[in-house]
Amino acid sequence: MKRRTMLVGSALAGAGVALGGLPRVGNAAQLSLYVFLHSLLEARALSRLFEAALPGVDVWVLTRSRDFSRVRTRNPDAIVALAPVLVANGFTPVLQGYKGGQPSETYVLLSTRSVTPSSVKSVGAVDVLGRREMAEFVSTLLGGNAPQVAPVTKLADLLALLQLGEVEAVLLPARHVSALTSRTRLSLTVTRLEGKGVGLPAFYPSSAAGQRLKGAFANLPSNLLQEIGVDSWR
Amino acid sequence: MALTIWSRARTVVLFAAAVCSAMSCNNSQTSSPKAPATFSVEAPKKRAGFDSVAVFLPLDARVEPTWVTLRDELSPELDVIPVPISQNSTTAEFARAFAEHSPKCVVLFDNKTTLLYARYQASLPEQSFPPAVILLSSFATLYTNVRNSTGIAYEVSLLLSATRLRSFVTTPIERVGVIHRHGFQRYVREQASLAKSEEIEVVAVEVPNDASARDVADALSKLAKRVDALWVLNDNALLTPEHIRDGWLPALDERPLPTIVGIPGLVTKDVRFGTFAVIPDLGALGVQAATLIYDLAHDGWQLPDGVGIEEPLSVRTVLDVESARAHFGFKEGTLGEITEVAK
Repeated sequence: MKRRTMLVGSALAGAGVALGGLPRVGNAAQLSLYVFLHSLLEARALSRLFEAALPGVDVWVLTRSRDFSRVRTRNPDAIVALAPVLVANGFTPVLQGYKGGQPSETYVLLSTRSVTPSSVKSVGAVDVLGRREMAEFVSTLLGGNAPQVAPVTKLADLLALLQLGEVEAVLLPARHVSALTSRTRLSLTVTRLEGKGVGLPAFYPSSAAGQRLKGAFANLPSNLLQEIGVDSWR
Repeated sequence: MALTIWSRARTVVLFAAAVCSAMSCNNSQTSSPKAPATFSVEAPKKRAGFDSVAVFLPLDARVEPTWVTLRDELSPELDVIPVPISQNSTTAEFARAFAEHSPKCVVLFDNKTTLLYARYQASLPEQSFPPAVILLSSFATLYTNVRNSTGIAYEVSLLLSATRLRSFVTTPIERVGVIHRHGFQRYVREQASLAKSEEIEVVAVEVPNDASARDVADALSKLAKRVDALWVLNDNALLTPEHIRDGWLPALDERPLPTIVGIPGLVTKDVRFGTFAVIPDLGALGVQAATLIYDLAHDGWQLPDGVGIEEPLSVRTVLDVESARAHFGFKEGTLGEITEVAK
């Protein structure tokens, strides 16, 4: 009977209870690192990668911009997010991620038909800044064009937007293109966007204890760095 | 047929799964072993010059992630008025909310709320209504009785489910079999049409409305050798413990097929029925619904011609990794992309 109750509970949790609000406060004795980055990994898997690399650190991976905008209320010791996202939320990075010697990366439009950045009418994007701010962010990357923006919370959802024909194109870092195109039989067109690109992940320590993590970031393992699109920190 | 200890254990587990199935979309509390957890809502202060959206919802913790994200996404630009709907609610709740808030749009959470709202509309045949957005309703496309409505289906499309499964296993997923009752014919046809873009062919077998476990077994025996995978609809009538035990499992025991289900409780190592469950990400569903509502606002709160029910975009996945490894060539590098590994 006990076994049955457990299974029912488990099944219900799976059916209905998903993400909701911010994670609970971690062990007060440990450092807390809040990560707001998106990859094809589930949040829990990305969190495990960070925790394995940073023993003794409670890692919380956020997926919604709204949650990240309230991250101060969690008293984090340190935060990792795309550099412009940190800045937009009032955090000045002390470590900037680099890839191939560059602090930013190229973004592309991925679409089922050929599109032009200056005239595309609807674009899906992972929401990193908030609904209104994302419209400006997208417009800047598209050279002033202001399409309708469909925000999503996960990278994989961009492919779903294309598969279901909800948007003309999706906007994403060029490094994720092959991962998405390998998961579909749609014939997708890649349109590289001109400009400086978007800042790579950066690190902000928000407490004295968090400063200690700065050194650890210099030694993150290559599999984790690859997952977040960085090969060094400066 | 005499039950072995193993099949009895399966029956118990399957009962749990069936209970879950019955509760996954409707608000029936009678079939639950205990009342589900609840949450509270607070109506915001009305702001001058802000349009309002009335959200009719059960205070059942299972809908809370969708409610929270919907409220968070909409509240910067709209007054979001929650109106709790309980077992005792009547159509008067809608009349009161309409009189008090004059909403530009209403959101209906779950089957029961939607049916109650349809009754309210039916009681006022001459009245026009603001657009309604239906969420968390099972097979929402089958609801044609709510006027001026759109929404997001609860069930994840075959298109997304099958392509996700493809990304996790090496076995080819080209032809997908489905067993359905007559009432699901249109839904199956629409899903099959949608899935074509990903080169997925649906092989459907219809069973009688009162299909027995034997009917399911017969249908499955027709399908099993013609398809690469099975797609199991959230149709409680075909998912009773008897149907699963005597209809589905014997054929699947004989010839394991990757089996896509819409209920996580059907993917357990004890049952070995579903291989892969795909359900909507309820938090992300609130974001998608907010986009739909902002689009309505942008269009002057008018539903565009021909608007239908959207498919959920963001999903959570449960995979029986052990079974996938044993039979379907699990791609180990994708382990971190699975929301939950079957226990």
